[in-house]
Amino acid sequence: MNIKFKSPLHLNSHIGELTVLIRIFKMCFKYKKLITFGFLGVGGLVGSQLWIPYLLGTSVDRAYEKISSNSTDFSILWILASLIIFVSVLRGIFAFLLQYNGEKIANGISADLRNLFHKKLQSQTYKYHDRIHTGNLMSRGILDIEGVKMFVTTGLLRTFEIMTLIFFGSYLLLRTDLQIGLIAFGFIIPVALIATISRLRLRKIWNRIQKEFSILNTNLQENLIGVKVVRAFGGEDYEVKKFRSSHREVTNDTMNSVKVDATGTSLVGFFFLLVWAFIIWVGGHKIIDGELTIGELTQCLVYLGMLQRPVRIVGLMVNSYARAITCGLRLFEILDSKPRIATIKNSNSINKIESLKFENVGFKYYFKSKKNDVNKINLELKPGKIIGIIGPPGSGKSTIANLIPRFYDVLDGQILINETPLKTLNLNNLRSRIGLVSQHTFLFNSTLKENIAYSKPDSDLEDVIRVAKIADIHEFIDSLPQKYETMVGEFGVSLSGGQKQRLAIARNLFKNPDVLIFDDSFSALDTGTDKKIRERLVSFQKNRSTLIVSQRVSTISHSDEIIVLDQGNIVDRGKHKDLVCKDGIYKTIFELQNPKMQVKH
Amino acid sequence: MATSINKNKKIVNAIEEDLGQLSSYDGDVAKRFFKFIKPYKTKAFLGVISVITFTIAVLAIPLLVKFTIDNAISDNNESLLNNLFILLIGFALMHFISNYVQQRVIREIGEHILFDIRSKMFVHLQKLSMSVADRSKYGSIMSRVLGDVGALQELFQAGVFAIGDMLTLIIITIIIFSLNWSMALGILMIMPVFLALRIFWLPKARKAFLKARASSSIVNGVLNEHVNGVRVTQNMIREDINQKRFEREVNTNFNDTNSAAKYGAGIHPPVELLVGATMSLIVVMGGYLVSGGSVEIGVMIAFLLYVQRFFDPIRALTMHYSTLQRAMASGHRIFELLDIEIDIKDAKDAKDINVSKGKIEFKNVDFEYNYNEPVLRKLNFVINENETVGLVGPTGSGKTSIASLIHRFYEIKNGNIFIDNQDIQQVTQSSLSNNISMVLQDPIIFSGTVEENIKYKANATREEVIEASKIVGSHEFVMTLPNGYDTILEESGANISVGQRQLLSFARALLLDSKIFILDEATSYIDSYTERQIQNALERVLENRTGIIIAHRLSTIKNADKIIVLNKGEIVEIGNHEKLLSNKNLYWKLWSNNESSFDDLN
Repeated sequence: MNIKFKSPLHLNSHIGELTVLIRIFKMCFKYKKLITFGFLGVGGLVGSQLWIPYLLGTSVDRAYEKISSNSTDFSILWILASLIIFVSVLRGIFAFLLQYNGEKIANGISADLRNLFHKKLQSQTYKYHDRIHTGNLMSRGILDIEGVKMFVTTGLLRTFEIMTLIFFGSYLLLRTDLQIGLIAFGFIIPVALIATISRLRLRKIWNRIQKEFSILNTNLQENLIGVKVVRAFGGEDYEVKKFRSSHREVTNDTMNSVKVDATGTSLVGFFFLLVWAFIIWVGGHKIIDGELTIGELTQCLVYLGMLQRPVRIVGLMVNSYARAITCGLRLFEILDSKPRIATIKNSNSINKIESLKFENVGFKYYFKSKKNDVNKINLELKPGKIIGIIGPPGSGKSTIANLIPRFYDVLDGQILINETPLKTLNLNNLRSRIGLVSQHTFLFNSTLKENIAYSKPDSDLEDVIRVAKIADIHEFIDSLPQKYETMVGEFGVSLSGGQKQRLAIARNLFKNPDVLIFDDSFSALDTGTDKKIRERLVSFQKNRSTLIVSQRVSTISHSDEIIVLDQGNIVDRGKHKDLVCKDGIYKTIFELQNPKMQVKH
Repeated sequence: MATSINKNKKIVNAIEEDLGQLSSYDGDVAKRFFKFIKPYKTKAFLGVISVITFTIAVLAIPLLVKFTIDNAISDNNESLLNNLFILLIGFALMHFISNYVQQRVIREIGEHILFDIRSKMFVHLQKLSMSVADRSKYGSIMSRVLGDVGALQELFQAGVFAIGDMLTLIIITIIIFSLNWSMALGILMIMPVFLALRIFWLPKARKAFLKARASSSIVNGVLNEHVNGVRVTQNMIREDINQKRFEREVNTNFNDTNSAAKYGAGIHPPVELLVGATMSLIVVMGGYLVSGGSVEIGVMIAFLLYVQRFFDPIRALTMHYSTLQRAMASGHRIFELLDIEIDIKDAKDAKDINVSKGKIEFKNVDFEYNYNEPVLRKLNFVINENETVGLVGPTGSGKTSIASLIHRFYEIKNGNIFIDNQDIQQVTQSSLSNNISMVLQDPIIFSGTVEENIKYKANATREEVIEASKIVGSHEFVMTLPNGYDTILEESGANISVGQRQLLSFARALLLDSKIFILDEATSYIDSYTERQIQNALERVLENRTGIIIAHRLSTIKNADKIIVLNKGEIVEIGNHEKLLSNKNLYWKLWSNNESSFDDLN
C-alpha cells in the first residue's frame, strides 16, 4: 500500500532465528567477569532459597516435639532462627549479584548495539537513507535495542535461575513426599502452559495496540498541525468522529488484552490454590496416618509458594525470547548491511581539483525505473569557471549535483576529476575538496559557531566570521545577545528559511573547497540578498569551480555556461544573452519570473 | 565547553521535569476527576466489592490452614478434614472469580475514563479559537492529551487497588493480633523498619532511574539528530567525530543505568534480612509459645504464611503514593486545558448564513492579536459579487489577517464584517465555513488516500473528486502514482512534492464548492511552473465566484479585477493593475524595480 519503494528491510530473515539468539549470547559472553558473577548469583540464590522451606519445616517440627518432650532446651530453635537469618542474608546478597550483574551485561550490550548501529547508519549511503524512513530507523535504534536489552536482563540469567529453581524445587518436593510432589506437578505444568499461552496472545494484541496507538497519535498531531484546514473547512465534527473511532480501536483492543490477561492470571491463581488445597487434604490424611509430620507439610506448602513465581514467569520468559528474535532480526539486518559506496583499495588522493568532467553520465534512483533520471550528461568545469543549471522541477538538476561528491554512484558513463575516475579516489579526500550546499538545510542542535564550523570543530572564531560575512549572516549573528554561541535547532533560536540557507552556505565555504556546488540553495533568499551574496562570492570563487543549480533565472544568469535540463536531458546550453532570445524552456521561465519584461516584448 | 554545559543543563532539566511532575494531593483535582468516574458508579462499586472479596479470599486461606492443622489434623478428625478441603476449594473458586472480576472491571473502567477524558479534551480543542490552538504549542498539547490522561487513569486503578492493600494490612493486623498478640507485636515492630527503608530508598532509587532515563533520551536524541543530518555529516566528513560524540553519550548513559541497577538490586539484601528476621522471630517466639502449650502449632504456621503477605501491600502502597503525586500534576495540566474558555462562540440567536452573491464588506474594522498592538486599523472596503481581488503588501501589513477574519478565525476588536449583508458575528460558525473555500499557505495533507485528502469531510463521489482534480491540474500527477487516487499519502505528504500537495489542497477547497474562494499566500512555496498551473486553474474556478488572492508575488495577482495594497494595517491604494501603475505609488515602485515581492523593498 505504500507508494515508496518497498523497504529492503522486510523480515525475510537473512539469518535464522536460532542464529539471532546465538549472536546475542555471543555478545553477552564478551562480558566474562560479569557473566561469572551473574552465574555465581544464580547458583547462590537458588541454593540459599531452597534452604528456607527446609529450615521452616524443621522449626515447626522441633517446636511441636517440645510439646510432648517437655524439654527446656531451646537452643535448637535459636540455631534454626540464626540459620534462617543467615540464609536470608545470603539470598539477598546473591539476588543482588544476579540482578546487578545481569543488568550490567544488558546495559553493556545496549551500549554496544547503539554504537554499532550509529556507526553503520553514519556510513550508509544516501540511497539507503532515502529508502528507509528515519522513523523506521529510529524505532529500530530505540525499541529493538530495548527489546534485546530486556531479553538479556530477563532472559539470560533468569532463564537459568528459573530452570534450576523449578528443577531442584520439584526434586526436593518429590523427595519430601512423592505423592505431594506429584500433586504439585499438577500445578506446575498447567500454570506454565497457561502463562505462556496468555503471554504470547497478549504479545500479539500489544503489537496491534501499538500500531493503533500510533495511528491515534498521528491523528491528533495532524489535527493540531492542520488546525487551519480543520477550521477553514468546518471539519470539527468530522475530526471528532475520526479521533473517536481511532481511539475506539485502541480501547477495544486494550479491553481484549485485559480479558486475556485477567483470564490468565486468575486461572494461574486458581490452580495454585487448588493444588494447595489438595496438598493439605492429602498431607492431612498422611499426618493422621503418621506418614508425614506437620513440619514436612509446612515445608511442602512453602516450597509450593516458592515455585509459584518462577512457574508464572515462564510465560514472560518465552515472550522475551520471541521478542528478542523479532528485534534481533530487525537489528542485525541493519548491522549486517554493507554501504555500497566506499573507498576502494589502492585509492588515490588529490591535493586540488584542477578539472571536473562528466562523460555521458547517466543515473537513476531506482533500479526498476524504465528510464534514467538523468541521461547523457556532458560537462566540464575548471577553476574560475561558473556553470549554471536550470530546468523545471524533476528535471534532474539536483541529481547532477549529488553525483559529484559520490553521494550516489553513476550508472552510465563516468565522472573524471583531474582526469582520474571518481571511483578510484579516496572518498573522504574527495568529499573534503567539494562543498555542496544542498536544497534542504539541516541544522544541528548546537551553537551557530559549531554549525558553521561543522567540518572542523575547535576552529578559530575568526575563520568562522570570515565565511559568515561572505554568506551575509554575520550581521544577524552579531546582533544576537550570545552571538556565535547562540544555540540553534530544537532548543535554540528559530531561524527563517533564508537564514538557514545562509548558514548552510557559510558552512560549505568554511570547508575551503575546490568545487562549490549550490543546489537550489538561494531559493529562500530574497533577490536582494541573493545578489549580495553572489557579489561577495566573486573573489572567493576565483580559484574554484562553481556549479549553481537554481529555479531562478537571476541566480544563474551571470554563469559562464548555462545548462537547461528537461526530463533528465540537456535540451539547451549557452550564455544567458543567447538563451533568452531563443524560444524554449529558458525563455519561458525567464518571462514567468519577470512579468515586466514580458510586457515590454 | 558550551555544549557540555548545555547538555548538563538539559539533563538537569529533564530530571527536574520528571520530578516536577510530582505534586501533592489536591482536593479540587480529585473532585473533578471523580466526576469522570460517576457514569461508571455501579461498575466501580462492583469493582470495589470484588477487590474486598478477593482480599478476604486471599487472607482467609492461611487461617483455614491453621484451622485444618489444629482442629482436623491434630485431633485426627478425618471428616472435618474432608469438609475443610471442600471449603478450601470453595475459597479457591471465590479467589478465581473475584480476581477475574476485579481485574476486568477496574481496568475496563480505567479505559472508559481514559476515552472520555481524551474525547472531552479533543472536542474542547476543536472549539478553541486559532489563537489558543497555536501550532507552536502542539507538542505540549499532545503530551497532555496522551500522556497526562494516562497518568490520571493510573490513579484510578492504583486507587482501587490501594483499597485492597489497605484492607490487607488492616485484616492481617486484626487476624494476627487475635491469633497471638505477643507474636503480632513482635512482627509489628519490624514493619516500621521496612517502611522506613522503603521511604529512604524510594526517592534515591527514583532519582537514579530518572537520571538514567534522561541520559538515555539524550542518546536517542543524538541518534535521531545524526540520522536526520547524515547527509550533512557525510558532506562534511564528520562521521568519526560524530561517532566519538555519540559514544560519549552512550557511555554516560551506560554509567547512569549501572548506578540505577545498583539501586534496583541493592534493596534486596536489607529486605531479605528483614524478611529473615521476621521469620526467625516467629520461629523463636512461636517455638517457646507452642512448647509452652499456650499457642497451637497451626498458629505458628499461619504466622509464617502471613508474613509474606505483609510486605507486599507496604511495597505497593509506597508505589501508589508516587502514582498519586504524578497524577495530581497531570490532573492540573488536563484541567488547565479544559478550563481555557472558548472565546469565539455562536451568538445566542445565530442563524445559518445564506450566501448567494458572495459580497464581502469590511466596515471600520479594528483588529489586534495582542493587546494594544493593532494589526488592522479602521479598515473599509467592499468586494462585489464575482469579483477577483488581490491583496498585496509587505510582511506584517495585515493581508493574511483579513482572510482569517472573513472566516472568523479571530474576533475583531471594532467594526463589522458583512457577507451578503449578514454580519458574520450573528451567524453560525459552521454555516460560515461551509460557504468559504480556503487554500492555505502550508498545504496540509492528512494520512490517508489521495481521494480521502481531496474529499476531506465532503460526501463527494469518485467522479466529483476526479473532476475537481482535473480542474486544478492535479489529475495528471495523481495518475502517475502507483495506485492513482487510492495511493496512500504518508504523514504530512512526505512522498509528494510541496507543489503537488498544494494542488491537492486546491482541489480540496474546490470540492467544497462555495461562493467565496480565498487563496491565502497559497503559491509562495511553489516553483514558477506549478504556479502557472494554478493560475490557469484559478481563472476557471473564479468565473462564478468571489475570489480573494493574497500574495506577495505580483505576478500572481496582476490580472485581478481589483488590487488592494496594504501597509501597516492600512489601505494604501486600491485599483486594477493599470490604475495602480499610473498612481506611481508603492505598487508602481515595486513593479518598476522589477522586484518579485514587497519584502525586497528595503
